[in-house]
Amino acid sequence: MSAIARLRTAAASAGARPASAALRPAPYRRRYFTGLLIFIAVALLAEFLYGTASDTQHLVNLWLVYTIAIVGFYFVFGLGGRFAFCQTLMMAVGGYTTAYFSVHIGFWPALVLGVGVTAVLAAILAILTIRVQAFYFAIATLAASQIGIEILRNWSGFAGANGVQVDIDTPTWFGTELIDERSFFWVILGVVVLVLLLAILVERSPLRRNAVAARERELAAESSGVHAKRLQIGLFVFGSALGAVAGALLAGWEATLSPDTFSIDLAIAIFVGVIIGGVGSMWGAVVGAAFVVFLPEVLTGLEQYQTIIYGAILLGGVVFLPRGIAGIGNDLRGLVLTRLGIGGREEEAREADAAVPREPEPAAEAARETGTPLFDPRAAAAAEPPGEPLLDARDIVVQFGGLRAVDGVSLTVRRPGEILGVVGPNGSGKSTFLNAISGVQPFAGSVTVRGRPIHSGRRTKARAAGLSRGFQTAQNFSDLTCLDNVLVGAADRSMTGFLAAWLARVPMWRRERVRWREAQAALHRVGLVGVEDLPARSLTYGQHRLLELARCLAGRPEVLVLDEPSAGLNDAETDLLADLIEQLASEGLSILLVEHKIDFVNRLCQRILVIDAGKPIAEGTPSEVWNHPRVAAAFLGSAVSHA
Amino acid sequence: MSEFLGLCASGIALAAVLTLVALGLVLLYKATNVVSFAQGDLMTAGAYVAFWLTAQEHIAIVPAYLLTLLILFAVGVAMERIAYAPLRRASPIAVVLGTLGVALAIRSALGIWQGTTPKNLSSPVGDGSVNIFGAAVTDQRLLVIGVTAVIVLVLGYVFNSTRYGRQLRALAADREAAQLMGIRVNGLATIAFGASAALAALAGVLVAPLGAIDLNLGFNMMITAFAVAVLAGFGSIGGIVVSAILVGLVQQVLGNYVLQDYSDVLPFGLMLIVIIIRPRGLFTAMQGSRV
Repeated sequence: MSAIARLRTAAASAGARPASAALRPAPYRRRYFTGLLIFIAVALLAEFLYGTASDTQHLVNLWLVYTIAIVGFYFVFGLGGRFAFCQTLMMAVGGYTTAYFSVHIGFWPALVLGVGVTAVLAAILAILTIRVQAFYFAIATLAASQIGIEILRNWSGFAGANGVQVDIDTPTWFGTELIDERSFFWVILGVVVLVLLLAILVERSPLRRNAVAARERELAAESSGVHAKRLQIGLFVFGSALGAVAGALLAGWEATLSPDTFSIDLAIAIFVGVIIGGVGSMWGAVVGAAFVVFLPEVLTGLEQYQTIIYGAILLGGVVFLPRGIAGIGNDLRGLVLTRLGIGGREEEAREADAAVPREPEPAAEAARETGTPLFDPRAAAAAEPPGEPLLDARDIVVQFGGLRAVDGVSLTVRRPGEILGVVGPNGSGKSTFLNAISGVQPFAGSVTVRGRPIHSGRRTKARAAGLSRGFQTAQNFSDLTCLDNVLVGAADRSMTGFLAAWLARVPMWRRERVRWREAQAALHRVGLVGVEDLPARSLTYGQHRLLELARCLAGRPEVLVLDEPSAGLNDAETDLLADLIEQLASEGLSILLVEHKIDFVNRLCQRILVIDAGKPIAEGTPSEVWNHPRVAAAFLGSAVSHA
Repeated sequence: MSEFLGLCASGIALAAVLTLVALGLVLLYKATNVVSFAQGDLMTAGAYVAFWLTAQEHIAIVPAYLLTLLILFAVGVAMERIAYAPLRRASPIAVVLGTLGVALAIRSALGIWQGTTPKNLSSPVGDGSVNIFGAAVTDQRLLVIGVTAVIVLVLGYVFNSTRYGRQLRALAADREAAQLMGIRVNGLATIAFGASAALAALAGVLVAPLGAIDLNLGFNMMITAFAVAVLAGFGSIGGIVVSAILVGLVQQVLGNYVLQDYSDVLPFGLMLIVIIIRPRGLFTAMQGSRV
């Protein structure tokens, strides 16, 4: 454990109110604007040292314009995880719309209009296609681009003959006509800084962690309450709007537009820009933009090799540098810090090791240590009028083609704090049943949590209704820190959108502090201490289970659904887990437990439901069901009776 | 009427070429779960290699064509080694990007090798044509249709009645289970990459005499073949053939009478509509997915 972490833990366990700095998740801790200032300095140096002739000035401006487009694409592809092929179309729509209206209403109002039109178009495209994944989304957007560019080519009334638009109003800035490269530099730099500012505020907001979670594991993110598709549509629209800004600036600055500008080659350059910079950070996109603009200059006389280099970069990038140049930068930084003995990879690993064996804490203790009145399901339960069952699943049927995987299973949990076991042979439909009642798998029948319905196939609804679930293999978000992992499941989901990030930072910040404390408390609750800042990928298998559990608890569920939580744990870990589950139940949390380990089930469950071949065959206390003849037959095969 | 029949004939010839490209895409997808953006440039490469062997090295047509398929099979195998084997554990997006990288590398290598001026590959069956109900259909188009029909039958047999076909279907149905049952997934992947590249090369060789060979020959054809594969839901051979004919006729007939300016992008429109309305394709039953 590092000295800082040790101090922090010491302070926390001494009951001191933890300093907010120590509780801040990593994204909020670093200074906001260092990167921006460095960028401005580099841009100024480039302009005044390198951009001394009009052709080099031109390149610097091009770099700035591409930066906007590629940062936009970073939000679509890097953060949103959407393999889109239409950033060039968005640039074109922004550019042509701005060009068309600029002669009527002036350049800057036309730019705003162009960005707005593009955003609407992007929203429509995204809403129509967001449900298809990876490759399908790529070709859907590729098809849309090809069609869009073809329309621009043919629609001479709007885009000029053959799509070549030369009738573009020269932009002015407070009465000065912008004609030379230098004056354009200042204007474009201003726009870039504004754009980067908006981007930084999104990067330093809860939106980022939710987006990373949705990108990495959509199912787990949605089950934790993240509206993955809505979020990705938002990122797509934002990124496309930035593309439109770039296209509009291109129109005003070049004073001419041609469909050939927005060819597949530009699309590939944008991909190369994002890949070379690394999809992990928006600053990678800035570096990547510089690369695609200046590479052809470096290769003077060798232009024919440019495409082959792009190809090698795309391939080499994904094979050797999955995290891009920015990733190498981080690795180097980690290496240097490790040498100096302050953090870094090895330190992370040691911290993770040191954090393992720790008893889970009861709610009261965790609350005291983290200075937070923890989620208390009992309080919630007491506040509700009795009568409505906690969890009520009626006649659940799940059909796969001709196969009924779950065939009319019902169950009810009435008492807060009850642990209900669901057991059955392999393939009996237990997991499918869980998937159905947690809204993952479309089903027929009805599920309510305290009368609040969970709709078929609506994942986020289940969590909103008060049901959290763990997965058969723990589903954590390996690119996020442990604290961020828990925060993804936070019960309070207000102030996590774009508008909060841009316009309501103070209220957002306040909500975040409450959420941080609760997440901290949830980590203490499951016995994971000192790992807050470690990336989830550095955890051991057993710790992954606990982290997922902490994320579930952060949603303040009334019903917790666990799918074989002890799978893959050793005996000591299994015992710790059983203790934890018992404690949680004793505090009033109802638990639905699917398990294979019979001892584990018998120890924890007051009541067991046995499923075989999708149908319920017995229900009762452990001794009742295990003596039931149909249960014996289901588990051991009917041959046993002849033996 | 004869104009209409002529358009239908070119539509079906186009469908035949698209069938070959789409078969390559789907074969690869079934064996490896990869949708390759390199398929189009492999097709271009096939056309260039055939041009090199026949026009520059003066090898007789049949051995030259066979040699072309062999060379492209080898390119496909190499691609598996370079761009797929190291990425087995990577995300699907990384693999697709990798194939895009291969596509760019192939295209620019071809440009460096053969220059950027378009080339002409002469037809092995001459420039004659056959009169079918008053519509003149070139011999090359008939050859394209005939060869594709043979390939479809052969692949149908391989897929349904041989060991490789069974393994492939098992892989496509349930990757993990197939692996556990002892199917050598890696070996199959290598063969699939090779065979898929050879199919692309065949399409390139057959389509080249109908126009000129340039560096974008295959890429544009590939996007149209994506449309075919999507319509067919990356599914059965029959579905691919029907989808290809649909796309070919839409592009040639509809594109000629109604939307002249947009004939090239009509298949993309069709594809977009199918992705939006029925992403599993026109010919596949809706299935539940497991978690």
